[in-house]
Amino acid sequence: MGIESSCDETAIAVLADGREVLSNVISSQIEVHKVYGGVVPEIASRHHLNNIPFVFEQALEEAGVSLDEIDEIGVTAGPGLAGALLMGTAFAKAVCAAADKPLVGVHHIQGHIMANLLEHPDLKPPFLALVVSGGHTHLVEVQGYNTFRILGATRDDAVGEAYDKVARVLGLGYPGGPKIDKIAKEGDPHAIEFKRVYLEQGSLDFSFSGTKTAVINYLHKEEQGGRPVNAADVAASFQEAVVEVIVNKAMMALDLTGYNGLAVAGGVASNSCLRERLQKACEKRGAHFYIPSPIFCTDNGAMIAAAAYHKAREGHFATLHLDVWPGLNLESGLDKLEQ
Amino acid sequence: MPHRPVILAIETTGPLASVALSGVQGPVEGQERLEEGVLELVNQTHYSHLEEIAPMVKEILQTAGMQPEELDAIAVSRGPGSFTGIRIGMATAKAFAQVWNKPIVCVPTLASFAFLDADPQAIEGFPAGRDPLICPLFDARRSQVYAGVYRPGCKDAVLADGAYDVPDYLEKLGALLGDANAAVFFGDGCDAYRETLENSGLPHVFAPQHVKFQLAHADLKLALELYKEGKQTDCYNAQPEYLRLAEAERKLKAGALRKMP
Repeated sequence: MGIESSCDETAIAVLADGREVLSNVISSQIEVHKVYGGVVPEIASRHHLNNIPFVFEQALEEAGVSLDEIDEIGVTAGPGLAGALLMGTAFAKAVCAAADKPLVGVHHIQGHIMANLLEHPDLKPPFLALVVSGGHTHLVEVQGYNTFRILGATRDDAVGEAYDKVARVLGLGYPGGPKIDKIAKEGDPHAIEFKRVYLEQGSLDFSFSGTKTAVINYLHKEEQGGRPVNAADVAASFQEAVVEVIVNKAMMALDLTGYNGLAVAGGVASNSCLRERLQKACEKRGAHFYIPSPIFCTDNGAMIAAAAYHKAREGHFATLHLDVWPGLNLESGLDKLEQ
Repeated sequence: MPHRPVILAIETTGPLASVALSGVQGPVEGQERLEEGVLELVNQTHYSHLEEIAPMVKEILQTAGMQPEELDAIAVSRGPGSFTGIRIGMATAKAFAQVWNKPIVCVPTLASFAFLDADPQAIEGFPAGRDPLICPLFDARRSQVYAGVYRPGCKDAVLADGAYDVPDYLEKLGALLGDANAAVFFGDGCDAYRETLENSGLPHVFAPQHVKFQLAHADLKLALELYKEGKQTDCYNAQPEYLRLAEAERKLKAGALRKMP
């Protein structure tokens, strides 16, 4: 069983043999937070608390198993919103204490990466992963199921964050990613050439705040000049700038590491433009391309269960004293989950 | 002999996490506070609830030599208090109740202070000839306290639970105290507003350290009353009592937050 509550999704799933998804229940709070234009941590925590017993019961029911049949329980213990992480973790620990089950603490990004294993039986570490979500933009060398090396990360906004902010200034509302993706399909991606930020030569780090600011400045300028703005063109051009950088950096990472395959993970991996462009770029160079179905890209319990399954096989268990770690580092912080 | 309900109480709304269990057949080694079959474990490390509470639930059953099957209900301190603390206790209680298939008794946290194992009149400095009123005060920030007023051993409030401005609370308390009563202040509000309380001119004492904060044995005593009255719920319906909206909700209602499209 995998339990995830690091942001605004209360999600619990049951897997058989670490791969076969018996249930994958996701209770989303998007509607709750929409009115605030983003996730409000205190409200998210309150909703997690109310939702979690229902999600837990439904996950077992849909899987057609009893709690007795569950071998291990994995839970996201970081990174994420502290109060939100607390709910899944407090609940998971009490379930494990009550039912004498082994507990596995999972890093949220580890979960996103391992979501790729659900549908790709041939994929095994080591491999290269690109993690793109509301809170993270990472290029990661997956050296083992519980060993990661971060090759590059964002220095400012995560890609999903930049999408949300641009969507806000365009008046598209929250969450920004899907809205920009949709409207961009009707726009010209080369209408405006927004700044692409590649940082210093050879760097695999990302920076999206410059591109975001370029969009905001453009909108101000057009407004002051009294010119009407074509939101679809702006969205398409912004997306083009962001996707171009991500794809090029991912290909550069393949060059530098010598891996012949890329696994993509995280909520922004649902973005249709990014999926398509990454796939094409991989095909062009004959590299394998792995990406989970959209349902496993969003925050979900199945990915946590998949990660927990492999951690458990290697003996990486947590104790009932497991704490939450809102800023947990993927490369150096995993030991904290075993204290 | 009538069956005395066996209840396990969970308290995490204040600085100290604690658990208590009724129906324990004494004596239990190393437990001095075992009275009327009630056992209590208190973790003295402030605010380490998440790490400690689930192990503490297991530990108290082990110490008492009891099995989950023997429990009639799980009680949980429902708040007010620290929002995070309330939720840790509530999530923990819900999970234990769900797995063990037990009802939940939600205990009003402020009222639990009326059930503390402590004689207010024996507190040093308690004004002679007056009756005690139990005054739990939790620091609610923004110059407020979550507070109520109770008589010892009685769960019905003399002054209803609420988020009060400190001067407003003291004014209401003063009217209740009159010539016959004296206040006993409990909770972390004692520290946050100590000077204001000391200078209030009201007859009062501060609770001694060992019973100053929320404790599970008091929740348990109140839970036993509530249980006998049939006031139990389940893991799906157990509700926390924050006594305050989330900041963003408050702003939205006040119109201070711009509505998103």
